[in-house]
Amino acid sequence: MAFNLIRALISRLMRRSRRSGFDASADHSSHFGRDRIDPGLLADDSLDVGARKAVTDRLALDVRLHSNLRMLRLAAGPSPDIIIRQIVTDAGLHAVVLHLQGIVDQERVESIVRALSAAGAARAQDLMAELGAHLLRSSHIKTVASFTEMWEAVSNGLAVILADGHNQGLACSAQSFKTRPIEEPPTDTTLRGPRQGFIEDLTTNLAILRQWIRTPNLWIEETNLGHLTHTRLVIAYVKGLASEELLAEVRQRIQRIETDSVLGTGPVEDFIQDTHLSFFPLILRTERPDRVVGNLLEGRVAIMVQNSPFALVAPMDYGMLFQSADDYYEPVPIVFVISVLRVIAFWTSILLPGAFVAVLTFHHELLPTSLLLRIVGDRAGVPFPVIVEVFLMELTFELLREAGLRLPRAVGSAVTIVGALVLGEAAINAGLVSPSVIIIVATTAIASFILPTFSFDISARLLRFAFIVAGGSIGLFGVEYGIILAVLILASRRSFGHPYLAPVAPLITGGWKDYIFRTWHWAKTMRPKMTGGREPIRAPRGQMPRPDASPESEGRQQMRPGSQDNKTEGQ
Amino acid sequence: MRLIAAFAAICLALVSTGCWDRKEPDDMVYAVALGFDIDDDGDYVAIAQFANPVAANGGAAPGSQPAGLASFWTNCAKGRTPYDALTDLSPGLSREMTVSNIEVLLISERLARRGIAPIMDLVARDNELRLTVSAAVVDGSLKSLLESEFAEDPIPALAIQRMLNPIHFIDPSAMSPGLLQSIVDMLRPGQDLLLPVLRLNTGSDLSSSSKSDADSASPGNPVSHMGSAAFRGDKMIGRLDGHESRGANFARSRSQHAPVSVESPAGGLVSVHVTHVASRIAPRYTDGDVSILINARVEGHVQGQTDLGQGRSGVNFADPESLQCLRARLAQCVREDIEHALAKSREYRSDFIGLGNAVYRRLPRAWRAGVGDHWYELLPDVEVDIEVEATLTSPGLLRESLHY
Amino acid sequence: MANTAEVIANRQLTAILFMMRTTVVISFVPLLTTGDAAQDAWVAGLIAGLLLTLVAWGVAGLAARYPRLTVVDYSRLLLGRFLGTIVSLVISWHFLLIAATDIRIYAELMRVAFMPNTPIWFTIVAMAFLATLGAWFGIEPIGRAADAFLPIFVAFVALTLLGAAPSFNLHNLQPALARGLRPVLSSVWTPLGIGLQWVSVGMLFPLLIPENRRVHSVVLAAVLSSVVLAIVAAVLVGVLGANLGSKSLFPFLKMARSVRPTRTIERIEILGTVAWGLGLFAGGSTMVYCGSRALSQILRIAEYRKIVPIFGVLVALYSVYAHKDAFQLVRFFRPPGFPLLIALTAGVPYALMWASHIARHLLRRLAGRGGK
Repeated sequence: MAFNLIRALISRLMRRSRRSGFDASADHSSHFGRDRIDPGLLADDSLDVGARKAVTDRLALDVRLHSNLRMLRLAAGPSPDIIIRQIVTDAGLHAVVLHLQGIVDQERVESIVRALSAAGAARAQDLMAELGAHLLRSSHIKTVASFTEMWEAVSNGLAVILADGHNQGLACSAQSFKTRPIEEPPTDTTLRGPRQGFIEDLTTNLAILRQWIRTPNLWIEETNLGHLTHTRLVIAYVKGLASEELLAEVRQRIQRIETDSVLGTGPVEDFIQDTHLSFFPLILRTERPDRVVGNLLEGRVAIMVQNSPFALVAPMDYGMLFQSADDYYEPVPIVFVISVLRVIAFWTSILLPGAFVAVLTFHHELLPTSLLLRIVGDRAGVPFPVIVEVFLMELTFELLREAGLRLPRAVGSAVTIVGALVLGEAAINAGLVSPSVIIIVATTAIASFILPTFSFDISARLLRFAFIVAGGSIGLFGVEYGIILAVLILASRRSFGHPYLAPVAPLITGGWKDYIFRTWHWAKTMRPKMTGGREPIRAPRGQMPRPDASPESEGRQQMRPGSQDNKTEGQ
Repeated sequence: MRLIAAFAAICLALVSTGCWDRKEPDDMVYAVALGFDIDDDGDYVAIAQFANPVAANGGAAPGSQPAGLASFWTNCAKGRTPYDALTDLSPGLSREMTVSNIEVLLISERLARRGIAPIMDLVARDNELRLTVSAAVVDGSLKSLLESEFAEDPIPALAIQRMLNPIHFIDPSAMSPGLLQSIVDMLRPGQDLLLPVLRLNTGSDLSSSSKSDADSASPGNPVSHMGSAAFRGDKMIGRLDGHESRGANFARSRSQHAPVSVESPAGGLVSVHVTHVASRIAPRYTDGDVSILINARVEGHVQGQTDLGQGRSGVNFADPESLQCLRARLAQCVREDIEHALAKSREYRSDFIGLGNAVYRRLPRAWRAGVGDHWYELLPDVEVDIEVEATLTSPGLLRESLHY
Repeated sequence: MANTAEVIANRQLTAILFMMRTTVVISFVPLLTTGDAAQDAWVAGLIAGLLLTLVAWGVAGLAARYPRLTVVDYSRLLLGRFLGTIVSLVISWHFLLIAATDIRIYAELMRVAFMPNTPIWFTIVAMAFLATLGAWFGIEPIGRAADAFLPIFVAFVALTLLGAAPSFNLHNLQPALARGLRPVLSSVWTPLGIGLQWVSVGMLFPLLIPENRRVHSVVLAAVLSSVVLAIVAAVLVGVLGANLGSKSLFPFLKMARSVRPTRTIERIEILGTVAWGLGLFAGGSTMVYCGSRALSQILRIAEYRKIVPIFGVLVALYSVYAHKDAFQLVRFFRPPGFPLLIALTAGVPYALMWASHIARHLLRRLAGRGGK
């Protein structure tokens, strides 16, 4: 019966238990009132993880050191990487330094231990005060009063000092975890841009952002997501540029998330996007800081998560699928031609097999006679109808592509290329497919690789199959029907309130300057109306390079930091 | 959501059960040329030339094809209407016939003289046939022409189509830019149709035209075009030879490249390649009589001369008087051609030059007042003046003639 | 929220009206096929355009006097509840008629020219479904889709005309105006009757932004589409000749099928057909939307989306059963039947509404002055 009472108590606690809000350092114990809870509850093995969390959320640090240590062992188990260094200070106080092995710098912990042992205060409260004020050389110190705060500090790489006789501990920074070096992301490379990509450590990523945008108006808000993983999530935006409605919408969607684990940005994207049934991505996912920064400066919001090098940028529109970072570093006429090529390649990769099937099955009269006879002659003897042939070859190609992704890199590309060649050749010789279908499938595949945004590739493949079915069943009428349907659905989509097809539809001519292709940087005098509308003027006009500008008068003074500020800010 | 699911279900059903209009290429046989004839009973005869794509591609397909397969074959059938005859071809075929890729439409002379209106109706009304086909009248056996082989094109229809639409015509009499022009001509008030005439080269012609004697047993080009056929309304009324057709095309501004041989002031003949003709037909109505002025401007350049050799220097191109003489003679040649065409037009009472149409366009009131109703009676007596201005653009790549 | 907050830009309405009119008139070119204008069809086009501009001005002008009301509202206001409701129902029927007839013409084209064995109900149901889906999503996605499709539409029509240009012969257009104006006028009425599509303005006017250019955008659509119509008619006659052109069932398609721009580029009719499909979607979905809105207003149903599927089904049924075959469809559009029908059912109500509006305006001014 006592157990049932305990169960009832725990279930009541679970209902009241809330995950942390934006202010991670808030004192949680103050939320739940003063009733204490016995950590001994955690000794029951039959408690499930939700119940355990309900209990640990309510635990507060005790005055006695040994009960704190017992609480730690009951909550966190006998893990060998929790290092508990017991110390007796020079004044005779018992204290303990806790840290997690592997994410702290041993030398700094040792200096903390040294400082602790040299402390002369007699009472525990004074000890904490003395450490905090004088002795500890750590750059970052905070007090912890509840078990949750203590554990969060420990798992962030801080060392926690607990003293016998005080129910609060002191957490000092000592982080040093292994992260990979900052290198160019493999999926998004450029020829002329910086070789920087985000890494898994959130702090480093934020540091990179700060280096790009050095105005104090770059605001960053942090929260934790996931009951079990407590993953750190930040949103970054330029205050005064990003619209408050957008910020409110983003915050609201993130705060609504209730889950037990958030493993990277994928789950976050699932939770916050406008509709889950979309073929086209509604939030941009990128690894490159320069793309994120570019979007931040247009009034968009970036969302980054610990342990994921991918940042999310919201809102997104259709044109961002075709942008690659290289576009900003190459000359404008080249970018224009390549952007046009990308759009053509995209629509080709989706429509070409379907149109081919449609024309060959329904509309023979649309082909010039010699072309038709050539194709038909090559197809003679193939036992399948055109649509089945195209389907088979597309499917084979998809299999090859997926297989190539899983193979080790050294072998993967060779296998896919050789496989495609051999398979195609063998299929033709066996008389199972015709050469024209192979050409169509190969062209489609090549065109689909042109898209810079990798995450869209998969949905593009699905669309392609849909168009093959449409073309094979009702001919070009079906293909056109599919196009109209696709455009209609795209036109009805919004990404965080921003119409997906803007600025094509609705037509906003100002937005075309930096859409799929861009104009020269000196011509981008206005920000995009929909996201950057709060501060529409980006730069003054008339900055086209002119040979007749007089260098003598303007270039006479040497440059100093801050000499540019009164020129471009606040215009 | 349910709507989408229902729609998807419909789509899948369509794919699996097959659709109404699905035509697999392997189930079709493609007709590349179509010919119509009429027999003594008044039945229409349709002769179609079908392509055999496998053999036509020259064995590009995997080597499972037996050698010696013909790249085309023909079939013919009878029926009481042209469409009847056309569909009567189907029982003799193992696959479904499609005429949507026809390149040429040939009409026998006999049918042309009876009237081609039913054929034109079929072509304009049918949803597979197009007005982009090239049309010609055949002098001789239509069936043999469609069965003859060409050396350079495995599918003869393509060769015939190229013959009828050359990029640079040498002989402008065979200009046939598609049936559209022909039908539009036929339907215009005061204008009649002119179609090129194709003829099968018989054996006697072959031996004279073949160059090498040793190996060429097969004809290089079994078909040639010989002049045009003049129509009145939809009935063929007479033939024009090469020069007359050329004259007709000069008058209609329709020829581009034509070789004209003019008498040289220095004796012999000078060949001029006419590159450009622009003519205007200006009708005048005075005292109830129609008179017409045909004003043609031709441009050409010199391509050669005959009166050369030892002791003879040919034409002196530096001399302005010789040039003027050449020009005048060129103009005279062109005028003669046009006059011959006009004579034939009057003889046949077929207004293929379009004089009546010029009156209809420029003098609509006169046309409505009665000229239009009686035009074919007036045609032989209408006064026609022909003015030709000739220009020689260049002497070719030789500034002066070579001395031998 | 979606019901009241939907807005559509002026430019998008211009695009929709332009595409809606251009598709129907380039499909069977009533300038040539329903009258006697022959080679002067382009003049008829210009005259029809002028009259249509006046009509558009009249319709938009009346709507502008009541900027927040739809035609259902102000017809009741101006003509009294009973007569106003009758007029609103007639206008709803117009939306049905336009959508159904446009879809039917397209389905006939499919059947005659491309897929003779496909039953016509299939094409009709497919297009009706698409239009219904568009209306379901709302006028905003329709407007955006129209924005996206307009350049493609214009490009394809222009390309078709360009491809036909080498076969153009000026002689076919002569003698111009030789028979006087009466034959030309005979060709004007049906294209003017097709201008019935502008009643959609009555429902869409309150949704337009920005407000000061609304009338301008409606009239601009009329002008542009009429200019295009005249050009198309001129090119058609120049290529096909007056005789063949006026006797074809779908002259534009015939022209595209009969020309061969270059040796390799031959079959350009697909461009015109695709353009037609895009325009049909824009027009059809707008009509279903307007009809659903109108009916929901008359029947006092708050959410118009409930009526959209019903309206869509009605459109499909009407389209399938109202005309038995292509012959009847052609006869339907011949003057004097069609123009008279439109004049009675749309012209008379609008004339009455204008009269009532002017009367009220005058009375108010008199009352205002008398009160002083």
